[in-house]
Amino acid sequence: MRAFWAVVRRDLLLATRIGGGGLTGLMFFLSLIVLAPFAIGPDLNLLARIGPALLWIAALLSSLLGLDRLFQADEEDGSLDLLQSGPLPMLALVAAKCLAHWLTTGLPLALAAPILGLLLALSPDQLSLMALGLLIGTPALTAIGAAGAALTVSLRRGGLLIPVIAMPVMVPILIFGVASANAPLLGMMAAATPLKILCGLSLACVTLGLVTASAALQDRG
Amino acid sequence: MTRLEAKALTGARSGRILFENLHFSSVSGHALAITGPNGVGKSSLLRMIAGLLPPEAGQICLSRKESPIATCSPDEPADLARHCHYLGHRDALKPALTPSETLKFWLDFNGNPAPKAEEAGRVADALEQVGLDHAAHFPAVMLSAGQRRRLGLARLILIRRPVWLLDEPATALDEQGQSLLWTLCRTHLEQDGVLLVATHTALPVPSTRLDLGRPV
Repeated sequence: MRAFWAVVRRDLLLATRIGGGGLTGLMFFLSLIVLAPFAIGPDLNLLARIGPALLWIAALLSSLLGLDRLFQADEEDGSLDLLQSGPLPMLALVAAKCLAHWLTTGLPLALAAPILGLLLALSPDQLSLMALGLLIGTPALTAIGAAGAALTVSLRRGGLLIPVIAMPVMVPILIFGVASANAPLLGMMAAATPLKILCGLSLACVTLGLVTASAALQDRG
Repeated sequence: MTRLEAKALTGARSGRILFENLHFSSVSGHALAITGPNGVGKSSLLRMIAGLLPPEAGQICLSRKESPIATCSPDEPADLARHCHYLGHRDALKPALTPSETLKFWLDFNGNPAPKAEEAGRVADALEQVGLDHAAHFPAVMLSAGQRRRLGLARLILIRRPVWLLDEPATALDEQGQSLLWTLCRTHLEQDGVLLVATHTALPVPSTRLDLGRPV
């Protein structure tokens, strides 16, 4: 357990240092959402209608940023070899690195979403559902992205492949995330149903993502 | 007496056989110099012992006073790794972290049994031994290649392990650095340590040669 937290602490520390890329995702998210109302115009009903979709797409893209360096940085400087031969099983190592990535990318997005949602004229119900949905969904985005990052770890410019690998798998998360945030607006169904499906999907994606990533890293030779 | 012994070891990379039916044994106090032309599998052999490349066949055993401690085999490639220090071509440094942060991380990661209060002292001690005490709080990006190598060596003395696997360790080191390296190796050998070095030059410590020969 000590080794697990040592990795989390080191990655958090690295993210805060110059060139570490912590909060890059948040800045990107912020710029996308701030620009959207200027591009779409001051139609508040329209903004409220497409706001959740915009926020989710922006969150998905932001969480992909920096994923290419998740394992590649450690692979290039030789740290990954030493981490691999250390006391942690590969799965725990991947989990530690993903936790650190989520804390610097996914969590800030979920916390910022309700504030940025105001720019998109979302109702208070939508704002809280948005934050809740992102809290549930972003760990899955990180884990799926990690699987992509692990598969491309030894490829130069492999970062370009990660969205191609990860995005199709992220689509269900996107669909149910947006559906839950839109539920109060449409009044067709309670938000609970899409949220529950989102929980299930997120759990499955986190598990599969971590297992895939650790298998890919183990076999890189 | 500690002994590292390989029996009928076969190694391959991406389906290409590097060495086959390899037997060797290395006892503490006496280094094993692994030599041979480029591409013959010197680094792969070290990576195999470090648990990073599973062997195709055969096994490597570590034993102390004839009682086995750990084995590396095709089914259990990582068992031996806990007893080894691997220093490859890359020094495993993060440019943004300082030497003392780097060493603290490795100490923590490898589950150091020492109390927290001793940690800083041990790190400072290791840095002093490799002559980096003055640079302990600069980010590693400011270190030269030779200083990075010294920091790599500091990791080996910070955490004690019976087997050292060094891949071309003298690269980038100045004369003083090299004499430091071999002093550390000599101390390690005297403290019942096993030492395997992949090298192209003769070792200045008591050693036997293992020539991997021509590439297959």
